[in-house]
Amino acid sequence: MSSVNKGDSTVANHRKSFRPNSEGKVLLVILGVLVALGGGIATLMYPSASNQGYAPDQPIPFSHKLHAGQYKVACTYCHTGVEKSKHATIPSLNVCMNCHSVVKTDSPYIKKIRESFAAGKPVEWVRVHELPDFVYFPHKRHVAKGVACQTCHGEVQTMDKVYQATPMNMGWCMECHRGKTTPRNVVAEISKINPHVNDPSYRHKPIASVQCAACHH
Amino acid sequence: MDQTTQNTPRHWVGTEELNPSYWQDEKVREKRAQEFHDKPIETLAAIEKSEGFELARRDFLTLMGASMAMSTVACVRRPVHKIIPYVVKPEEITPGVANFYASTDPESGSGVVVRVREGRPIKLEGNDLHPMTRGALSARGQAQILGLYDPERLTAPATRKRGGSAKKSTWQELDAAAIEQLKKVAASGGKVAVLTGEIRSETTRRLVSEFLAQFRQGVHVEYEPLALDEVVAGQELSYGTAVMPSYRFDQADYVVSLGADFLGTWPGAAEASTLWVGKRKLNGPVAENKTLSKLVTFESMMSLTGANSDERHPVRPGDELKVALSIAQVISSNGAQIGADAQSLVSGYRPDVVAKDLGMKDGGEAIRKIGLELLKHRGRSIVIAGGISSKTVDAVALQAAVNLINSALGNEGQTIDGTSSSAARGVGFAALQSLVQEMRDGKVSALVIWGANPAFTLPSAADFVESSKKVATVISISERDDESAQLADLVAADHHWLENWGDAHPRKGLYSLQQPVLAPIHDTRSGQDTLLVWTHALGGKGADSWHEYLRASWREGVAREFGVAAAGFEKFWEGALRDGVVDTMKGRPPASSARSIRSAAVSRLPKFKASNPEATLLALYSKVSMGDGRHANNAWLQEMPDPITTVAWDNYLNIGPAAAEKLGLRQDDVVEVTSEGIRIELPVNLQPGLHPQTVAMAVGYGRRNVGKVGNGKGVDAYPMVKVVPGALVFSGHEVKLRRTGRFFKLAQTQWHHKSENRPIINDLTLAEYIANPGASNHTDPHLRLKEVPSIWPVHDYSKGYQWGMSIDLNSCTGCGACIIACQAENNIPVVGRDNVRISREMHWIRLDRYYSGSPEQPSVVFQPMICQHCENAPCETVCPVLATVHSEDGINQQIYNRCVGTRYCANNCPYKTRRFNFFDHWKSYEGTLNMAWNPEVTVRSRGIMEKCTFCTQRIRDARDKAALEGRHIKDGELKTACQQTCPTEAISFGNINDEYSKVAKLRKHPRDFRALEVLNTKPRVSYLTKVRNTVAAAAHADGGHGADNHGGGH
Repeated sequence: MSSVNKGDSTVANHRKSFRPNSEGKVLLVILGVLVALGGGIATLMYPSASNQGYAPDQPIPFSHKLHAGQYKVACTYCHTGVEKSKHATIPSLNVCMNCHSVVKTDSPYIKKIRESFAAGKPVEWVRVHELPDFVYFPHKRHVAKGVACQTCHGEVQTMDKVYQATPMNMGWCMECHRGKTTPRNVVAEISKINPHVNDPSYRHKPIASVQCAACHH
Repeated sequence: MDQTTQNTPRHWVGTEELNPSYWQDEKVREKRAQEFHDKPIETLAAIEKSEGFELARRDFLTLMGASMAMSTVACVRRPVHKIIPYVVKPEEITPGVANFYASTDPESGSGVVVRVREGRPIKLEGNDLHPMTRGALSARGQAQILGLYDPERLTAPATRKRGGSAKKSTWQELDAAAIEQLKKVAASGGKVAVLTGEIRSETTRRLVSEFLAQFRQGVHVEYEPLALDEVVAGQELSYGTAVMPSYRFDQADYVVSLGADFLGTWPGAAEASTLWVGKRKLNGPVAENKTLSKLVTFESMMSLTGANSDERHPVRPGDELKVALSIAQVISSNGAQIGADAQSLVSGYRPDVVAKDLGMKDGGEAIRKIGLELLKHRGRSIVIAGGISSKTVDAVALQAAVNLINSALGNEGQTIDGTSSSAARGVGFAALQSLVQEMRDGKVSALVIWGANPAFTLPSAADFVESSKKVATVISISERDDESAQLADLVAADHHWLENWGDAHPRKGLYSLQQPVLAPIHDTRSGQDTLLVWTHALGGKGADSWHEYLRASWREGVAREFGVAAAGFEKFWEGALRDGVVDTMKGRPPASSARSIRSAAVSRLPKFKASNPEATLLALYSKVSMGDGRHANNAWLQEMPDPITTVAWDNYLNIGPAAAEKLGLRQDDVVEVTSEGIRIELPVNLQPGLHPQTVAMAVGYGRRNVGKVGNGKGVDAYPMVKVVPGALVFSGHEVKLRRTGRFFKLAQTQWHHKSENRPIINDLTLAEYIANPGASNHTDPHLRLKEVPSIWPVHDYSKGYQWGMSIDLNSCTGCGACIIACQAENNIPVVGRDNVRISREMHWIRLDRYYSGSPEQPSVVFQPMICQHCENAPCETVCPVLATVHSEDGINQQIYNRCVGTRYCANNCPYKTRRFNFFDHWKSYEGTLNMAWNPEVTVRSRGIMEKCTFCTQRIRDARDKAALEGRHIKDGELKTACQQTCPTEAISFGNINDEYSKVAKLRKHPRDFRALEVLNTKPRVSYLTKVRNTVAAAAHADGGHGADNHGGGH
């Protein structure tokens, strides 16, 4: 509601120079209410680009805490596309069945998966992390430079239900690309091809592409 | 220092520019300084009165209001999207990574590579391994991807009562009905006819003959409306072999085309362009080249071939024969042997006599010179003829005359190869005419129409539709419920070719394989499978499915030819699937030998007869975009501006400006054309370079049953075709013209996005080029800005990749393949006829066509105009929201999500290459059409500016790939969509910082110039000057060459 605050301070400044009469006060109040209302509607209509904290219910309550945390199944065991594609990819049902044809077959959820698999009907997961259509984010390029999954997705191995842990808006991306929040291991990796990034004088220069067309095309 | 002049320019767009008073008009000056040549609102007011105008202003304001209200509602909730993974993921598919499959377009026989994302094809490209096209693909080939997703294809088999509407059916029902009927015919010993389009697959032809073998009488007729059957007939007449010869343009230094559009609308034009341009490159692969082949054209309608020729003479349709015989007269009287009979016949065709008859004012000098030049180039020249615009009653005689000249010059067996091409089958009208006769007589019991549309492509005089009513059973195997399917009782829905298997055998030793690249979208079945099912039901034997049939055919046929034993077949087959082609010749053209000419052909040549100097003669022609009209429902092809006339969406009557003035006709006037009782009404287009007695119109338009996009667009010109025994006469008959007083605004783009009158293009003659290769660079040294201080901070472009493009105007034939390739790659929407009428077309590549010289006999130069990616970009400085900024690698980036649509950038672009989305055009994409979008490129919404991005998504992809492999991008590894498809390799793209890259070398070539360099925009796109093989300045003598080239700015 920054717009409303700004409006108030403007009013305060004006008070020093002239005293509004009571009608003027009413007018100002009405104006203030209108601005607040407008801001409220605007917030409703155009929510922040960030979906941070978004944690939808999934058709099957798959627990990353159990799989990735307790049993230490590698992320890439299921998300096979992450090293070779733009997309990390959600595993197909046959990957689930690799283990669950023998593991915990009596669970009602596993039964549901087995039935889906047998019927050839895919599970419809609710998308948690979603960038706008005009953003092209390549997973493979980031993984190749040693960016850990947790850097963007949070501590997934501790999540029973996956939620969006980071803002994932453009400013947040740019902080990392400009070197402000870049993980150390990634800087070290980049320094192999661009030794200048270790140079103190390089501090204010981006360490990854900040060209618009790198992501927007 | 501005170069803008108000004088008559050397390169002009329309004839009005040649009138000095045009430039004195204050309104014209204002017009030419604007973003749009015509103000949209004024244009709208004017064209609302035009016929065929559907976009009422009030309606679209309402629509806009509605969509605005809806968009605000939609924004309230955060969208919830689903991720639906595979149940069992196919091993070869990774979401986000494209797969590439080789296949073959059965229509043209060209090899293609299909880019498939997550199981759906999104882009076609030429197959680099195919020795005939070498990666090139025509505009029509590129557009096939949209045809695949056409929502108006048949989705299931159908039945209908004769003349009624189609009723959806099932395959069981359809097969039962068809087999019952066919069994009856087989039992009664009746005749079955299969009528198809040209089938390039020998395997498919054998399958048809096996189907027909189940009946006591069967006949297979292939028919192509635009077939070059007169060429084949002429070959048979002259040499005794019915073949379509291969023309070796790469061996020819002198080419004379008599109405043959071998660079544009001939089958295999992409291959011919590749070969022809090999002799037109001034930057040879090894060293600088200072020679050019010469191309001379005599033609009635201006074709791409005519536009690319060094010397072009407009004639009436039918005059080509006179020219040919006159050339024969010149060469025979100068020592070439053409035989005594022929010699006495051609003595009546002295050049002066013929020139006078043709209305040429040089007393036959031009023809005489061509004859003498041909004699100088014995064995290294080609005289070529054929095509519907010269398909008069004398079409075969023209071929006989041409063959006579080629044999006399020793071209036969050298530049013309009639021995290595596979035998041509009659795909012309002759066989169909006898079939129609039998149908009329009730001798045909069942007719299967497959992949042909005679109900549309034949004139009513051919009597096909009426005769079909005498056939008891008519079955159609068709992709859509078209004019011919409407005649059928049963319609077996056919696959699109991208869903089907197949093969082609374009020349000896070369086999091209076609494979399905997606699961059938609808409940369709390939025509071959359909025939196999029926063959089996009638007692035939053999493979169960078309796939197995094809494999068996390759196992026993092609593999044996390659010496592959049965055990090695799987490997051979997989190799063929991977490469798309197998070639015993390893890319080398097969050897050819000369055939001896038969003297009997001379008897077909007519004696000289003077023409009627008053008659107006009609020439029919086909457009590079529309062809015979089978793809009329393809919106990309409909909206592609014709390279010559720049008109999209319709056909029209082309008439020379002088002739039109005589008749009181103006552009867009609707005129009535009458010929022997057939009456057609269509708008007029003023076309420079036509003989005053010639009018021309394109076939393929005015479809009745093709779908929403193509129905009723333009006027059907096939009724103008005349039927004579054994042939169709397309051109050369007299027509009468009458003004109707109505007008129809053509969607002509030639004035859209035109700059002020600044010289933007260069051309030279060969002599000028040899004297001073850099002549084009110094048209006016005063206007070349070398170093100008900039008020903006200067980017450092010395490091890293710096992308640049070079376009060789000498190689560009104007075929327009780049336009469609770009449209497919970059999700460029179709806007419809009405929006094109008001300058709102969205193509990122504008193919500018400029004339020079006189309107009677102009020279043409094409200039593909795209975003020039200026280093000092005028658009960037005016954008208030920084939505267009420069990247480190020298690309002028357009950031859609930042754009607020002020359109300042488009206003400030001197090249006018920016396009604005006035509407949410993607909303007009229905159902399956949405599968054609390229997922790598944002689909733009209303209010967004867009333009060429240098295929930035491909650059990203190449960078990612190179970075992951720890290397640099190699020169030539990264190709833009337009560059990839170009048949003549006119476009080069690469890193200009790499001095060894092709583009860096071309930028140092003496012919290199930057468009509007005087504005100091420093474009990253450069052009190579067009060089014509003409005698200096002769062509420009009356066009005002000289002073005005330099403009009035200094």
